[in-house]
Amino acid sequence: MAESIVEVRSLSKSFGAVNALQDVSFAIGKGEVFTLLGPSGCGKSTTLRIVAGLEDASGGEVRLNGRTIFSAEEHINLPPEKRNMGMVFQSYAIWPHMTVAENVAYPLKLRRLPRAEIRERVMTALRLVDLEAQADRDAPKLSGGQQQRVALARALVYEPEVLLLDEPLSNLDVKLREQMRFELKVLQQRLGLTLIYVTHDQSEALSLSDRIAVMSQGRVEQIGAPDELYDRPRTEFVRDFLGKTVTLPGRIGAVNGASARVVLNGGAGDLVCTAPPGMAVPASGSDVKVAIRPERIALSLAGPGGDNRLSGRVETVLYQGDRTECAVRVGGSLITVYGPPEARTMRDRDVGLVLAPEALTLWPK
Amino acid sequence: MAEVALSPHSGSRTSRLFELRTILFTIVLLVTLFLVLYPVLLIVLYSFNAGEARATFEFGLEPWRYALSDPSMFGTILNSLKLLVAIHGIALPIAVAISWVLARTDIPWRHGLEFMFWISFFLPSLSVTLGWIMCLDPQYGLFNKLATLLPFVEEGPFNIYSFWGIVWAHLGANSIALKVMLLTPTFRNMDSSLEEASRVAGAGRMTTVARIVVPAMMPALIAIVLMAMIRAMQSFEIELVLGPPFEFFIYSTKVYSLIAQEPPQFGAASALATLGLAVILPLIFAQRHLTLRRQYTTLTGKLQTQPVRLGPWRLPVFFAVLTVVLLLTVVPLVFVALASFMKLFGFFNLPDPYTLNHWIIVLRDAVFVKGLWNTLVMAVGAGFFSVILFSLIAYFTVRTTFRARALLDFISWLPFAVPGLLFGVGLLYVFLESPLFRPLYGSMFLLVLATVISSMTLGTQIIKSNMMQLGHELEEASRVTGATWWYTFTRVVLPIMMPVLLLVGVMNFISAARDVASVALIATAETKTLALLQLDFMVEGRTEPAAVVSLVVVAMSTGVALLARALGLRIGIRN
Repeated sequence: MAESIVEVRSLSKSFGAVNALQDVSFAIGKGEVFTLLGPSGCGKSTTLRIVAGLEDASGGEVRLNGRTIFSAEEHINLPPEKRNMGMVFQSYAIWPHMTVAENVAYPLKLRRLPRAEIRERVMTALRLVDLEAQADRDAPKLSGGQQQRVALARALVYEPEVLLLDEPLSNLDVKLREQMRFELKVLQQRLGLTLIYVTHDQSEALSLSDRIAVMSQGRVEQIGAPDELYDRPRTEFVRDFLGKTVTLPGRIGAVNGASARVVLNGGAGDLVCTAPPGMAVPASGSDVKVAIRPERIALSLAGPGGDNRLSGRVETVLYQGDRTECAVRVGGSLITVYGPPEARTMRDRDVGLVLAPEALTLWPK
Repeated sequence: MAEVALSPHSGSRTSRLFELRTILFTIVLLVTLFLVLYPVLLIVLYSFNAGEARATFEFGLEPWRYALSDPSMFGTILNSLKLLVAIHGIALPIAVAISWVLARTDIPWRHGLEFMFWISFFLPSLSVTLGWIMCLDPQYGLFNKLATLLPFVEEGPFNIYSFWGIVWAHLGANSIALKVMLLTPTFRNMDSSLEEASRVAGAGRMTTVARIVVPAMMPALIAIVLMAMIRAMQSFEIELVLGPPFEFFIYSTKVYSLIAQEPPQFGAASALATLGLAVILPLIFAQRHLTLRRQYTTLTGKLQTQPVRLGPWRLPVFFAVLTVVLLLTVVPLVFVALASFMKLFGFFNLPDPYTLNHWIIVLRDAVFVKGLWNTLVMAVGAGFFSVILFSLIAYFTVRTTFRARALLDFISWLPFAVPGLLFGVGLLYVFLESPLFRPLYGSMFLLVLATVISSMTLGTQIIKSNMMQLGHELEEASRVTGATWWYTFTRVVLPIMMPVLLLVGVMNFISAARDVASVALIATAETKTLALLQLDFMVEGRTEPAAVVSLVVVAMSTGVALLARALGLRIGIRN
């Protein structure tokens, strides 16, 4: 990628026998929001910290605008202060002995900018995050959400080339988190920021990112646009990490070109599945699992009939206000589907399930 | 685009930046090694010097033969151990009971009592001992005089110049107060749900204490006992005043007298000192092991619920604790103050027994003025220098990955194990033997070094534990915005740590102002401090001037502690 700002090439890092990172590579273009997503301990924060220069790796290299800033082989490791990056930490890392304005002014002061310019740029940055009025307050007296904004202003005020965010929203409560997510997106689009974003929250990743790298146990499982990962996950880990999945065991029956009929175990019925482009359908007779996102299953009251229709009985309903989660017994399997709010009275009713054919994916048993 | 390798220019700048930190680390490590390890090594080395004078080193086992064969030598170590058992056998149960009462019951005026224990901790032990000499001296002690007023009592029953007299002085000085200060927070932090769960499960109050509270407190208790034992091995000035009149020496006073006598017996003193170290070192390893392990068994600091109701015992218990704390603080001080205003202490039947003369004479005495000045210079110097050195040591051990930081950490623990008097011996060797450092002998600088060393462990630990609580991200945030390591250290780390650094500085000022053991051997007539002047007066039996100097030392140590507390510093000790 000629346009890439940050390029990470086969990073690896081990603590004794444990591989914290293995062959992690990706490249980020200007103005892109790139997210490292994964459960805790998957190596996403370590990767970010290596990019920032706060940790080193045992192998691989990091480039910034084509310049090598870290290389294990060549023993290059540019210290963090020379990388001109901005970073927002999970704890916000607001310096408690300074006011809000002093926190934001710090990066400019150490660059020895004229006093007037510092004041002006600090106020501009604080205006961006809507904290102008709090400029002279002591930083520790702010609420969590406000500290978060100070951290953001401080990271933006010196116009770094890349902004690194390490779980920036995870210490906020749910409402505030959703609001900040929205504001962050607006700010990013307005200023054309390049972001590397680390989170364990898949909905945060899906809503904010241009591209996501899903990581597990120190490896990148898959990189792609949010919808690509969500609809066409390449590994079970990516599939299950990004959202709920219903899986049904079965066996391949008749194969017809790119599509095949799967006979579900336990007499639950048949499903017609199409293999994704470029992938072959498994041979007839092989054991497989069919997977589908619960929201791609429609609940209907009408009786059986038609392809990709299963019938079952509602065993449990969990009413959630905007919808009702129903557990439907189909043959030997319990399938979770989302029904309308009205479905909350449907316990023990016989129902039909319509599975969208394009949303079905085939997985080896 | 062609690959642009990093230019050699910026590459070398990178490595230079890291070098600054490395150079500083190396300097700190070398300074600490020189200050702490070198004197100790010299002590061990000189214990093998069979030569007549220090200057002529001849290898030989003569000092060891002497130290091990003469019962008046190794017997002093036994004396130290006997005192240790007696003092802490009494102090620990009392302290446990008082701490539990203060922490877990509804005793009235709890904060006031705690505050008085805190005062007691800061009282110089020489001053407390002086107060008790006034009361328990076999000839003029007031308590003895009072006792003879009773029928059938012809001779005063008390004698402070005895084994039990020394034990009493130690209990009064800070053996009890220190333990109360350490144990009370531990009791307070104990999660009361542990006790409540036991009660709900059907166990009675006594069963709960025996099966739950005591086992849960065990690691803390053992750690405190070990710490008390280590401190007991460092004890010096009380025994130096009270021991010689009845020919009683512990090993530190013996080492002192071997060096103070003419001609000094450096070889024998070194051998005895090495022997003492051999006794203490296992204690320090056990203590370290325990405190490190305790991090995993720490009792959670959940808020407890109801304090235990003492019911009808509330007032009797209150008066018992009050009596103890008055004996530790007010009683000895009142008699010291009284003595400073009496023509001859204890002789109330003189016609006009009170006078200001002692104050006038002492305050006008050039020796006193010099001592006051020396004490101030030493205490300020120690407070200042120690903060710089300890904050660097703490930073390097907590926040860097240098391999040798474990060595630095270990060295910072060593002064805790090595009695101040022995460091005095070691420093004496360092500064008398080497032509390079000899000019510094007899200067205040040497005394500053000695007191810095003696407070190194505690000071470094306090800064370290606070630095550990300081999130890494505060520093990293600074680095990422473009600040160098040094800029970050001076603009972020130090300012945030400032209250703690002030605290350590003030504590070191206080301990330097009252320190006797670490400076006793290295001070000259020119560099004598007030605490040493007081010691001289006491050893010479000049009680009244000793009382005057003593009150000035109390004002400088306890007074400064009170001032610091009033200014909001959380001054005290942590486990």
